[in-house]
Amino acid sequence: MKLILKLAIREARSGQKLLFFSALTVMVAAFSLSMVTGTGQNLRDALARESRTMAGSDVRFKSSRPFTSENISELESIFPKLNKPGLFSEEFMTMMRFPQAEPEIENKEQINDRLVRVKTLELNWPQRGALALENKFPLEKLHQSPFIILPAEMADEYGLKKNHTVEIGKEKFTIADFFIMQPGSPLLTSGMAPTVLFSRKFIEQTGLLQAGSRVSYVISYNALSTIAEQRSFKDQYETELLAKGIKVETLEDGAGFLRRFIQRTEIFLTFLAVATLILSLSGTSSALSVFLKEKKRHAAVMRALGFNNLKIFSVYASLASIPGILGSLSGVLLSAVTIPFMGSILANFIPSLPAEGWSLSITVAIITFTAGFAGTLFFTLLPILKLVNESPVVLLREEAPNAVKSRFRWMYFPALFLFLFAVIFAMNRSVANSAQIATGLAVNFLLLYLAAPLLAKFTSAFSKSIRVPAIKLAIRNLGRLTSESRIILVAASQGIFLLAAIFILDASLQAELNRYESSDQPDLFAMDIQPSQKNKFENIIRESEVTNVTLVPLITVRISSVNGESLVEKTLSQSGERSWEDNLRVREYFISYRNRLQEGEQLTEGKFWGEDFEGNEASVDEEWAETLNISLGDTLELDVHGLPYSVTVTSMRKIQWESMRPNSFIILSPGMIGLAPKQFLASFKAGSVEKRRMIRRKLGSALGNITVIDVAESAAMIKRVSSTLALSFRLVAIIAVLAGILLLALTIASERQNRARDAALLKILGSNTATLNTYLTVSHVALTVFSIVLGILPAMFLSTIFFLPVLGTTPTFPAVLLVLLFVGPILAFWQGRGQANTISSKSALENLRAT
Amino acid sequence: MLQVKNLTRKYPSAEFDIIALNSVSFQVEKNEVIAITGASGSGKSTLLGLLAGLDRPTSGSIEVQGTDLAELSEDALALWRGSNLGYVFQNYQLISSLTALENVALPAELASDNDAYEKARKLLESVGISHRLNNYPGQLSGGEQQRVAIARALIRKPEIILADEPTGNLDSVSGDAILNLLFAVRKSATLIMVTHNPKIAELADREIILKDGKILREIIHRKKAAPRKKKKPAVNKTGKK
Repeated sequence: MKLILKLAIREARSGQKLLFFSALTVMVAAFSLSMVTGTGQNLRDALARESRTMAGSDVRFKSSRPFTSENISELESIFPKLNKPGLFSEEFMTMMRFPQAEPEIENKEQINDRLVRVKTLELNWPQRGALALENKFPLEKLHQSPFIILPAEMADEYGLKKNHTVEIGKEKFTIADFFIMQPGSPLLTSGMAPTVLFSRKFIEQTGLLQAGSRVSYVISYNALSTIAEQRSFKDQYETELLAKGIKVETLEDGAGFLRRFIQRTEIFLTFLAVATLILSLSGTSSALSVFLKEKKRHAAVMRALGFNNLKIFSVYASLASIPGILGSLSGVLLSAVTIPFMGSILANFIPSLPAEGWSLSITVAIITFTAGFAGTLFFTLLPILKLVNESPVVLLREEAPNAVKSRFRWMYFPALFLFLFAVIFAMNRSVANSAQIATGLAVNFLLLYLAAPLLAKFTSAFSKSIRVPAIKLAIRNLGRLTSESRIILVAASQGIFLLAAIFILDASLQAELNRYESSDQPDLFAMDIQPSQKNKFENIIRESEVTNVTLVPLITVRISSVNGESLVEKTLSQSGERSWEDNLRVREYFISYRNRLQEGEQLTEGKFWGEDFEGNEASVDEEWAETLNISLGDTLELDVHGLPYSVTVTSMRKIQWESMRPNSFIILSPGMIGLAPKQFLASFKAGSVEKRRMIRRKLGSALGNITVIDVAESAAMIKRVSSTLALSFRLVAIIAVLAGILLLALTIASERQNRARDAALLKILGSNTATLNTYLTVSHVALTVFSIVLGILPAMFLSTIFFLPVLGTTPTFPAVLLVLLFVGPILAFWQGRGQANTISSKSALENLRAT
Repeated sequence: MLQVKNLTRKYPSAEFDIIALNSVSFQVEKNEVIAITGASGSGKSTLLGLLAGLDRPTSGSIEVQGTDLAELSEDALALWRGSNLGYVFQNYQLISSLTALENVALPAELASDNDAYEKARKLLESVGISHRLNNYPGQLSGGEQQRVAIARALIRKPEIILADEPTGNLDSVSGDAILNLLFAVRKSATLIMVTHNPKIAELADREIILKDGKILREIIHRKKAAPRKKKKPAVNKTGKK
C-alpha cells in the first residue's frame, strides 16, 4: 500500500503541470455542474413557489356536483397526506351588474354589466401566498357581511370605487377592496373574465347555485409541495377520480396557462443540467487523456516489473484521486459560495423572483462531487483498463493502441442511453420525455462514433492531394486513428453539439414566448353578434379605427358519433358518474368554418384544405383529439341543431389559446354548414383604456345584446409572466453556455500539447515561423471547423427530431450558430498564431523538452 | 568546416548554475567523422544540441563555414538546419501521424522539392525498408524507425550529420546495420556522433572525450578524409546558402 501511494505521488509530481491542468478542469467541471444544477433547482423552486401561490393551494379537486362527506373521506383515505382540512369553494362565470360611474346621459344612472368569474372563499384562504390588496382590507371581514373584492383593473376601467355596490345574481355586494394581479399572486389566471371574490357564506343568497349549470365545486388542500409529488399523485389517481366525476388540479393546472411553460422550464433546465454534466465529463476526459498519455507507458513498465492489474489500478486510482478530490471539492465549494448571490443577481432581471433562500443543496453538492470524482476515476482507469491484455512491449512502443477493439463496443450506446435516461428521469420523472432526450443524446454519440472513421478516411485521402507539407500534416493529424486530435475533435464536437442544442432550444422557446408578446394581440372580444347585426357591427368597428379584426361565425353542435360509434351511448354505457372525457364527448361545442389558418394556430398533421375544399373536411385541436382518441381520417357525425352533418378529420392543429385569437376545437371547411343558424364572435385591438371604453359604450348602446369583454389585462399578464419565464430560461442557459465554453476551451487547450511536439520537430527539420504558423493555424482552424460542423448539424437535426417535440415547440435556429461558424475559426486562428509565436521564440531544444 | 570556440552552456537553477559545457573548443574538417564520448552527464548531448543550433550557448561561438550560429535568428537557424544539417535522435522523433515515406519526404517537402517522394522512396530502399513505406511509426520496430530517421536526416544531402546515440536503443544486429548506413555517408558529409560505445568510437576518424563539460582528450583513430576541392558557398545570416 505504501509503495502504491508512493508511486502515485511520484507520478503526480512528475507531471505537476498537467496534473494541475486536470485538477483545474475537474474544478471547472464540478463548478459548472453545481452552478447549473443548483441555479436550475433554485429557479425551479422559485417558479414552483410562484405557481403554487398563483393557484392559492397545492392540490384542488374539482367536481360539477357538491362534495359529499363520503367523497371527502374517500379522498382522504386514498391519499393520507391530505390530513389537513381542505377549503371549499365554488367557481362559476356570471354577469356582474354595477352602476356606470360616468353615465353618458346626465342624471340617469346607467347599469353596466360584465362577465366575471366568481370565486367564493372560506376563512384561511389562500393556503399559499398572499393576496395583494390596494387598501389592505382584512380578508376575515369578508365573511361578516356581503363584501366583494374586485381586480384593480376593473376600478380603473369602470370607475368603480370602494363601497360602491355591485349585484351578482340576487345579492348586492359592497366593494371592500381591489386586488392587484402580479406574478406570484393567487388568482393569477388568464381568461376572458376577471375574477371576483366573496365569502361562500353568501353564495346561497345569490340564487345562482340553483340556476347555474356550470358551477365547479372545489376543495383545495395545502399538501404535496413539489411539482414532482403532485405529478406523481395525479398520474396515480387521476383516472380513478375522473371515473367518480372529480378532476384533480395540481399547481401546474392551477396556474392555468403557466402549466405548459412550467413543464418546459423543467425540461429545459433538465436538459441544461445534463448537457453540463456531459460537457464536464468530456472536459475531464480530454484533460486526463493528455495527462495519461505518458502515464500509460509507466503502467507498461510496472507490468514489466511484475505489478498485477490490481496493483496498477490501485496506483492510478490513487493518482486520479488527487485531481478528482481537489478539483471536485474546490468546484463544489466555489459554487456553494456563488449560488447565494445568484438569487440577488437574477432578481435584478426578474423582479418577481424571490432573492432570498438561494443555496446549494446538500444533494446537489453530493451529486456534483460524486460526478466529478467518479468521472475522474473512470476516465483515468478506462485507458488503463484498455491496456490490460496488451503486452508491456507493445505498450512501450511509441504508439500503444488507444482503443482496443472490443466485441462489446456496440453495447456502449445502450449503456450510455440507460445512464442518460436514469439521470434525466431522476430530474424529470417522465418516462417519455426522458427516453426522448436520452435517445437524442445517445444518437449524437453514435453519429460521432460513426463519423470519426469516415473523417479519418476523408482527411487521409484529402491530405494526399495537399502539396504544402505543413497543411498536409495539419489535416492528416485529424484522421490518424490513434491521434489525440481525433479524441479532442469528438469531445469538441460533442461540446459544440450541446451548446448549439442549448441555443436552438432557447431560441425556439423564446420565439414561442414572444408570440404572446405580439403588439397586435386583440384586447376586446365581442360575443353573441347575430347575423342581422353583423353589418352594423362591422360599420362601428370600421368607424372606430380598430386593428387586427377577426370575425368568425360560431355554430353550436354536438358530436353524435365517431366512425359510426355513438358517443352518447358510449358514455351512457359506463357505470356511475361521467368522466371528464365523457363530458367532452357529450358537451355542446361552438365550431367555426373558414378556409385559412389563422394566427395562434399551427398545422401539425394532415393537410389543410385552403381554397381547395369539398365542404366536408374538419380540422381539430390535437390535444382535444388525443383526449377523445380521434385520429386523422375519422368521420365525425355532428348534430347541428338536430340535423346530421358528416365530416372527415383531414388535419390536426396545435392551438395557442394564450394568443387570444378566437378559435375552436373543431373548424370545418366552408360549405353547407354556412347555412346553419349561427352567431358571430369578433376580436380586435382598440389600444388605450379610453378607446376601449369608448368602443364598449358604442357597441353597448347600438347593439344591446352583445357582450364585449376586455382581455387587455389578461394579455398584459400573459406578457409579464411569459417575459419572466423567457428571462429565466435565458439566464440559466447563459450560465450553462458560459460553463460549456470554458470547458470547451479547456478541452481544446489540452490539444495544444499534442501540436507542440510536432511543431517542435518541424522546427528542428528546418521549418521557419511562417511554416509553423501555417501548420498551427491550419491545425486549430481545421479542428474547430470540423468540430463546429460535426456539432451544429447534428444539433439542428436531433433538436428538431428529439428535443423540441418534448418542449412542444417548433425549431428556431438562432443566428448565433452562424456567428459560431465564423467566430470559432477566427479564435482558432489566433490561438494557432499565438502558439506558433511561442514556439518560434524558443530554441528547438527548449520546445522539444517542453513536450 | 566547423569551428567551436570557448563554448559554454550553463543551466540556471535556484541554488547554483549547472555548467553542462565549460569552455570547449575544437575544429572539425570537412568529411571528417567525429565521435563524442564520455560518461553520462559529461555534456555530450548538450554539445550536439548546440552544434545543431537546437540550443543557444551561454558564451562562446560555433562557426560553420564562416557563419556564427549565434548571430542567426531562430528562423534563420531553422532554415540553416533544413539546408545544411541532418539530425538523428536516439529516440527517433518521427511524426506519428505521417507514414515512413511521408516522414522522410517532409524536410524536402518543406524546401519545396518536387521530387521529395521519389528521393524518399529511394532512400528508404537504400536503408532496406522499402516494404514499410506506408507504415506509420507505431507500426515499425525500433530499428526500422531509426532507419527512417536516418533517411530523413539524409534527404536534403546535408553537409553535416549529427547523431545522438543512434544505436542506443537498438540491439547489436540492428545497431550494426544503422552504423553501416551512417558511415556510408562519410564521403559526402561530416558526421558527428555521440556514443557511449568505445567500439563505435574507434570507427571514427577522431574521438573527443568529454568529462564534466570539458574536453578530457582527443584521440585520432585514423587519418581524416581528404577535403573536397570544390567548396560550397558560405552560409549568410539568413541561413541560406
